[in-house]
Amino acid sequence: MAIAETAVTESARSRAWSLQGNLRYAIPYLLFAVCWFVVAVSVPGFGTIPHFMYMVVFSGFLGMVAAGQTVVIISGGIDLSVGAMVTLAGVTITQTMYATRFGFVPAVALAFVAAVLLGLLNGAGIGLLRIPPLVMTLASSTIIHGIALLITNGTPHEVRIPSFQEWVVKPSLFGINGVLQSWIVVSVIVLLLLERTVYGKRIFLSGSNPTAALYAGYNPRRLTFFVYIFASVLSAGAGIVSIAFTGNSYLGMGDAYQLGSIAAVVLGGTSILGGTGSYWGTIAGALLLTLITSVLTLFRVSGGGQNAVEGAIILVLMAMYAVGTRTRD
Amino acid sequence: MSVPVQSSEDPRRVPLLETRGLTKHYGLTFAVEEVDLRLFAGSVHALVGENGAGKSTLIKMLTGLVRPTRGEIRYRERCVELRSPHQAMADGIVAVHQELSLVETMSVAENIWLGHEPRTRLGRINFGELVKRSNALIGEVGLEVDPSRPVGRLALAEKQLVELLKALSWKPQVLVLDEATSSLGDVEVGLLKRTIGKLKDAGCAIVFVSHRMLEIFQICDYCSIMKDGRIVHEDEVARLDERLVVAKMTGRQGQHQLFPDRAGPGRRRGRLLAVRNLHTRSGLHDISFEVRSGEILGLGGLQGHGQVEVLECLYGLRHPTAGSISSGDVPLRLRRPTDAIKAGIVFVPEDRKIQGLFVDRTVEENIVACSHPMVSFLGFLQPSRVREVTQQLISEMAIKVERVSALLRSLSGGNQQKVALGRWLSSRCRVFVLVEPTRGIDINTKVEIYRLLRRLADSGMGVVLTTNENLELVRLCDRVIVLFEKRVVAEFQGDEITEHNIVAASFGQAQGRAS
Amino acid sequence: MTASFVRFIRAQVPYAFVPAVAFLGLSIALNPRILTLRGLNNLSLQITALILVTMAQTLVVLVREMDMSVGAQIGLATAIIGTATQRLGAGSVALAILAAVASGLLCGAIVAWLRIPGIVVTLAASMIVGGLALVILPQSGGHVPPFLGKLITGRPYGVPNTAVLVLLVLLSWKFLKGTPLGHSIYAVGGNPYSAFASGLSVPRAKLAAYAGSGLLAGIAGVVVAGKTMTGDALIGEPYTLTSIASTVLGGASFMGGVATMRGAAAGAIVMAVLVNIMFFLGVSTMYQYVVEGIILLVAVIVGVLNQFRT
Repeated sequence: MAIAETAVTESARSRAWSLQGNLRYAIPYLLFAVCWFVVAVSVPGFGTIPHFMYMVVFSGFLGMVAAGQTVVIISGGIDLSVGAMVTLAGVTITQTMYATRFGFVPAVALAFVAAVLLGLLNGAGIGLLRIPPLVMTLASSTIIHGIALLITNGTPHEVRIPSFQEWVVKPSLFGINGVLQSWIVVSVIVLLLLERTVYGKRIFLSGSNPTAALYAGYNPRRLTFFVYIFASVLSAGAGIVSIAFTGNSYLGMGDAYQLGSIAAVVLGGTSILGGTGSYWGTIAGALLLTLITSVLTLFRVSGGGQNAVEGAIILVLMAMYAVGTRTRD
Repeated sequence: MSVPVQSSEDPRRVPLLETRGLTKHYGLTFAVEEVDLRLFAGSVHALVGENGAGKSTLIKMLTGLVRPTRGEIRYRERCVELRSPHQAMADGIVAVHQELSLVETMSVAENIWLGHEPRTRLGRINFGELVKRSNALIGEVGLEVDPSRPVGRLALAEKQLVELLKALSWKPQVLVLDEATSSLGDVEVGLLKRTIGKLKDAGCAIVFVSHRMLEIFQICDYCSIMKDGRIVHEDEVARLDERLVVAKMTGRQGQHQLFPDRAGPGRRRGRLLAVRNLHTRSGLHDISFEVRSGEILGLGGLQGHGQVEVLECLYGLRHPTAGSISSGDVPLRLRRPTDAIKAGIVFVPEDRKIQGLFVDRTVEENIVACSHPMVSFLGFLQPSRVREVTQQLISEMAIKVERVSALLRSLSGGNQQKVALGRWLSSRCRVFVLVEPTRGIDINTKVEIYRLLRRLADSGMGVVLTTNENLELVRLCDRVIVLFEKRVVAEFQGDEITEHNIVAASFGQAQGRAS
Repeated sequence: MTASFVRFIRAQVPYAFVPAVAFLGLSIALNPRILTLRGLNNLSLQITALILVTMAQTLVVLVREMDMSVGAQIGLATAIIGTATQRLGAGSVALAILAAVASGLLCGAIVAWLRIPGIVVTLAASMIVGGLALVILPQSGGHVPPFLGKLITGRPYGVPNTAVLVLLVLLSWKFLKGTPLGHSIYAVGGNPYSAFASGLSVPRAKLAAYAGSGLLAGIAGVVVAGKTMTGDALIGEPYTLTSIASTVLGGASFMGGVATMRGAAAGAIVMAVLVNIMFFLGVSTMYQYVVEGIILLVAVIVGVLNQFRT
């Protein structure tokens, strides 16, 4: 009944589109620019290009994980296991290389296999068994955490992969290093997928109206499997690049990316309800979040305090988006 | 425009509820224009009109759901502003709608008294009193239902009557029955009529919105006919007849102008699909029929007797437990819509907002939603092809839209339905399946859709549809199959397709060949 | 006669009751010492916090939302008690509960009036609340008022105080369920449009649900503080996930409008006793994560299947 739609269950997705359209995704860039300027001017050493590049590189890890999260959220779901997957990927590499004679490449392959398996598990629970995505990925994240714990027996190890680590860290191509190169490749893939391909369009449509997607002849189950496998694989990739960057893995390495990836997506203006969004916004969201974190670290705010501030910023921005796009009814 | 009511009553009698120049427009569209309506206590006032004539908007204004753009509402001789449905209900203006809005997880009694439950002295809800009062109401209406039963367990007709009880609990002085009989069986309609009689005696004013002529002529005292947002005719029911009412509603003198001519009997009709001995878990029993090219096939019968289920089987939305659907001599495995589409079968569902279209996406995206292979290359969308296909369809079907990047929900119902139908046109389909293709759209768009379906059939496709309106079955279809209690009970061809035959078969009566 | 009795039992007794009793029986079989007064008290101590937090989650699930911040609220409560006791004495307990309620109110207000889905709001809130807890108490420790410890672990006349607490909460809910506001929570969850059309306030129902959830989480935090006699900002973390599992086990529907607090309690008992059993069977802590995740999955699958049946 049209009454119900306007009065109580008004679609938040239509709100997301009214008034702002594509400009919506420019807002986080604006915010980032403003924040950066303010900080660059007031804090010495912040405004330099090397520092800016360093920040961008750091955003890369989050950006890659958030890329998968963006696709999942646009499809109407959410993935709370990406953080655990980052950890598992890192831990798999270090443990495999430490405990066996396998080299780097087989270890990487193993990590990606694990990612695909996790994606299949999530896809099966959500697509086949109709378990709510939040609950399913929460459960699988616990299992993955447990597996990571089991693999490392509590004590993860260091690893040396000189050539890979060099590529990751040193600016090799046009002055950017491996992390940034990976992020650019991931960004291009995700942007192309979402903005230009049929499959990406179907992801949007399924997120907007899953029933209509079924009636239109799309394969909702395949889409579900795809997005969750996509997210897991990207998270694994981020984890692999991350351990190359730091040289070791530890059991909490993926934790920050869990809520961080969702934060980056939401900050970027993508609607949590699905059906509409853009990775452009997420990129800015990742940059913004990393900027905030580094500022907070600069001011010696503790881990807890950082969490609190980040959470507050997310809340405020969500509120702003919600208020700014109310329907006229 | 004020139409004088030719009433034999005292013209100085004051109406209980009255509107003066009531108008509502959304942007440039006028939903309701300059309506003067007078409702008198102790009378039943029918409100008729085609879908899109403005009835629902008028009702929404009377019940506080929508704020009028202009004009005033006078209730009990005073000008009122109805700010919310709850306020209207508290004042005594209550509506019963066709769509149910009950809390299925709560009991009948809790639903009836929701929002105005009797309280104990401590402020809690007095559940005992709740059941007692519910029983009183239930007894007055004559229904037989246990007030402590969860509503979810009731049959559809019973739920509709609970909606009525809910309305009655607010002690209405003006009761609006908006298509409230559509889900009711004969027994329940009888109870409703009795209740209406009692309300009349108590001085209530009743507004009766319905498509069913028979009920209107049996129950109502006055009738207002709406067309294009205005009241075009108003009179005592005793002075009206069905033909006049329909003529005023549609603005056409004859009905046959609505429908294109049926295909002649002599055309070659190849078999496209053969459905044999279909059984489903939902109760379909031994359904067999054929879909032929060049032909519009209609599935008739009472609502809910399996018609939609049969069509869902054709599209892979429902899996039969026995039987087969074959194309040529090859049985098709229709496990999901993709399989059906590959076999050349497309589907236009009943509820375009929830099932058929992506209302929060753009018009353009909706138009090409089912033709991605045609507008893409190696998986990548070609924006130029998308624009081409979109423009083509818009002009072909005369879809009224400002910009293709507008959201689909901004289109009118009729235009939305054109998109829901038209989006399949560029795919290579041979069988076009439609459920209630003209539900909730204005008369002009209906005509366009009828002509489109005729054209599709004439070009060699097989069109299969089901509809509630027997008129469409009679005038549009070349062949009609009637289902009764999930079985095929009759098949009519050509001149055999008459309203009488269809209705008789709908009630399970033996297939008699009447003229 | 017996037919209506059976129907009554089926209506009053949640599905989770059966596995709850079964697991309790298994526990007793593995460790007969439970059957002593002390053993019962210990068991009750272990499961009470989870029962309370499951009820908190159930309240929110009733209005078609979720609360991802309950674990953080527990941590905040213990952190406040740990740090404020020195200056406020017993008042720290009141402050801890107030803080949890305030967090619930804030989330509820944002969800109710800004119409942002509760999942995201409470995810953000969990970051804020959890972060605040760590800022207040970076390392576990602090002082807990001794009376609290005695109160929580006490068992005058043999009955564990924690069991009495749970009973009190259940009885209070029975009363509150019948108030217009409590009733509106069920109505809003079952059919928000119908509730709105009948004049009920949907925002108020959601606000009440989140506030109530905060209150229960706060009380759960107080119980944990009394049990462990320390403050610990991170101690609440596992409760969020487990509360969801227990809520689903307890028969609540994510579509809203269907849930009972009895079910919530039964579901929590199942989850808590399960962990107990694992411990007794000597399952190493390494595997516990994996097992917990699998249990959550199974619980949810059962819950989803149940929904399709009703």
